[in-house]
Amino acid sequence: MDLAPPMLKRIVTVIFLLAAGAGIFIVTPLYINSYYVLIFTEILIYAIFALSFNMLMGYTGLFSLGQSAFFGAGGYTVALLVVRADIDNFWLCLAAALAAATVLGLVFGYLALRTTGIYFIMITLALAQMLWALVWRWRSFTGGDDGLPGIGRPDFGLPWSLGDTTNYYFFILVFFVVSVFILYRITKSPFGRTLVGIRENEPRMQALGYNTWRYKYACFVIAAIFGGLAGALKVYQDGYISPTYCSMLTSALVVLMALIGGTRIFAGPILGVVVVWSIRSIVSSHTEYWTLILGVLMVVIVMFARQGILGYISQLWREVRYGIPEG
Amino acid sequence: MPEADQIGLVLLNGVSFGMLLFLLAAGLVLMLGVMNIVNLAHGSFYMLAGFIGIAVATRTGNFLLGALAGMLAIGFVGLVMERFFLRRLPGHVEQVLFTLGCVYIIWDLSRIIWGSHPQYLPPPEILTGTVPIGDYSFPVYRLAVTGFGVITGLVLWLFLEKTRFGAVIRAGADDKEMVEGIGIDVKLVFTVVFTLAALLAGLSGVLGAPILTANLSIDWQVLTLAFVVMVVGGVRTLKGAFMGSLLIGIVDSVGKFFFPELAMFLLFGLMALILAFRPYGLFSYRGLH
Amino acid sequence: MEYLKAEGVSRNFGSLNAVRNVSLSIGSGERRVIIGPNGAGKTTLFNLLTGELEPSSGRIYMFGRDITTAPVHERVHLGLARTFQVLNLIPNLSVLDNVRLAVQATAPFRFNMFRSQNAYPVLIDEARSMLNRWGLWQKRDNLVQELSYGQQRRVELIMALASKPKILLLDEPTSGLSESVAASFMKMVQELGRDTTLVIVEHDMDIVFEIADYITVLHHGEVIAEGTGEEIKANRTVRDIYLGEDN
Repeated sequence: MDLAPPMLKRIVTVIFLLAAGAGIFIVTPLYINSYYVLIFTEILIYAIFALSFNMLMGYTGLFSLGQSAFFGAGGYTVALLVVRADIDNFWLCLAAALAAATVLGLVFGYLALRTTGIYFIMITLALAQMLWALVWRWRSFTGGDDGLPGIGRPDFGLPWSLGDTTNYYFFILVFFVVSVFILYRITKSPFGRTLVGIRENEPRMQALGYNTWRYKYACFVIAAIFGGLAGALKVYQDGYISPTYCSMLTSALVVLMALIGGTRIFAGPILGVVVVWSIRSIVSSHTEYWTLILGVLMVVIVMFARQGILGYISQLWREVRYGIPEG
Repeated sequence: MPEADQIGLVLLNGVSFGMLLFLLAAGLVLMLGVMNIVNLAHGSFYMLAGFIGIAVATRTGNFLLGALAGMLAIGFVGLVMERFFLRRLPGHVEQVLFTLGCVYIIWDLSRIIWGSHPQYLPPPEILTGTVPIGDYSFPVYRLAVTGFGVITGLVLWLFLEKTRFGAVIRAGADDKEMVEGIGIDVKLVFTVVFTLAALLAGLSGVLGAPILTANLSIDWQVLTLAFVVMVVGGVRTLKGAFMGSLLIGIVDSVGKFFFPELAMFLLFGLMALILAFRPYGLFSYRGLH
Repeated sequence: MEYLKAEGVSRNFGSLNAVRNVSLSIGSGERRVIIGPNGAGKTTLFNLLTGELEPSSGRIYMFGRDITTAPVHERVHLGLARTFQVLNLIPNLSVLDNVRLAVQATAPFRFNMFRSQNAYPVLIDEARSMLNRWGLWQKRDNLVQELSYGQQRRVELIMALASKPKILLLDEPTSGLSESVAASFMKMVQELGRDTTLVIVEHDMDIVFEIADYITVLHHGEVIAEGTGEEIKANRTVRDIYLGEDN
């Protein structure tokens, strides 16, 4: 294959990926039990969330522990509009959810980016936790700990009801593909490449002429928007919302997902979601120890496989191809 | 318009709660200042100590034994965490991830061992009873906790400023390489500091049990507030931790009194203001003083 | 018009006066070299000029415009660029990526989120021309940390040149290079032509006298002498300070 011209290689790779993708994402769900389709759907939703988180962590080097705030903002906006304001229009609710996530991203991002490093991590946590506490205490509005039930699937007047698990899966698949496409393009763009430079050496990037704060801020808001999208899609999936959407557990979950897959590769978080969510589904259906396993997984990954699965594979690949690297 | 004794009550509640927060925040500030570590499991230390303390106190009938047990158990956990794990982890991100994992491990183990219901611990006999504040009464125990917090603050301050080991800790916070150059075992200093912070958290967890109960949501509750204390008061100074704790305790208490459902807005507003104008806290200062 | 001017600039760190009341004025096309013993405040002065530090007092002007509080990245767009004494490349990225990012920094499309970076041929073209000029095109796909020290120093310079600066500040550009390598490096720097004004911190006196139109001597944060190479060579005070160093 090394004799083939790069263009041909590229075309073959794309065709292969499309075929594999179609096989996995389109054909398989049609033939499996709807329980597994449900899991698939949740994987796609969390994949959007994890990819959005990784824009911050993997590409820009900003470790935000508060992404659940945007997931929750998206979810609660939809829930509140549907339950409290009786608004049925899906697109309106979605637009509102994205707007809410954007505004929250603008505010939280501005505050958090006043600091760097460990303080940034702390502040993102504190901000998200404050939102959680607000949601949890404001019973009269958000339903508090009990949450809000009764969010039906969107109804477009089409012959296929989105109440059906498989139909809803394909609905989500569209959002997944669009999100992956947009986020991938962003990472390959001048903006995206700059983020990587900022991650590796922010002072030098400034000395080159980049207004690095602007890039970080923009990235933060982008991550917030896609986090909000994921939250909105999840609430339609679940049919109800609870403060868990805003909780630290959700933030930690998305961190683990990105980490296990590998934060330095675009598709890493997707793989991470598959791994983590599969483990969770198996563990939760047999035991009550998922939280414990989650903690153990985090500890194990950080102590033994910091680069994640894809990171490890790519390291092996480089060693095989170019010889064992120095240092 | 609230009456004077109501205001007094709210303030006293805030101050006593603030002192509990101070015990936590002080540990966090020490760890951050000296080791540049943020221990996300600090709230879990508090929670676990509460459970252990209650278990021992109810079994032995002795509050003091419970407090000691909780404190020492957490000190031990902290020691193990630092000595065998945190020491090996290269950077912030890894340390945060590790301690975050510990949060969930501790949480679920607590749930498995003690169940999901909040547990109560009555204050020690000598400290039961109340003190009249106008038309209202204020628990003696809370006064005692307040006093204890102030004393601990003073002791810590004296320790850092006036003792040799305290000087070593302060120097390590300022310049690790220099301290190493003098021949001091920085690793040992780190272990001591982390364990000390853990002991404080453990103590705070048991002392707080009669006030806040021991339950499964207290870990994030106190950690978040301790973080807010650090953001507002200053991330590296003990004085900031003390002042910040008082402020946050009072604001939290006031908020809960006037707008119980929206109390968070008040705290959030405060934090946002500080971040906008003094991102490193009101009493920020280089070094640990 | 003076290209770069510092007026009574001071910078304190607590009780340490790193730079005291320094004034200097650099004209178009000039080759200014700043010398002084270690700790004289040269790098601090540099950081003040480039914006990494803000002066405790005094003002800084570029092309007549007050840039005293202008942030680092803004000064680049006004025509300033610098290299660092301690190599400051972007690690874990290839040489080509480093240079492309450097070129992109002043490009109008640097904030574009929608098109691939590869869709802008100007980045590769500029990078190729600069890397070729400095003999590094072969190494373009290597990670920067895989290059030899001398090669990395060249990349350091190329990155600063990418913004086509009118004023280039070089902080000990030959630091760590052997004498012959340093000499040939500086020869290529001189070939940059008078469109680029140079302000250089340098220790090697041979290079200093070779390249300088004008020399500023710093000591304990103050300017103690200024003049042409000949004038400085003859200056008593300067000779006393450098007693024991190569002349």
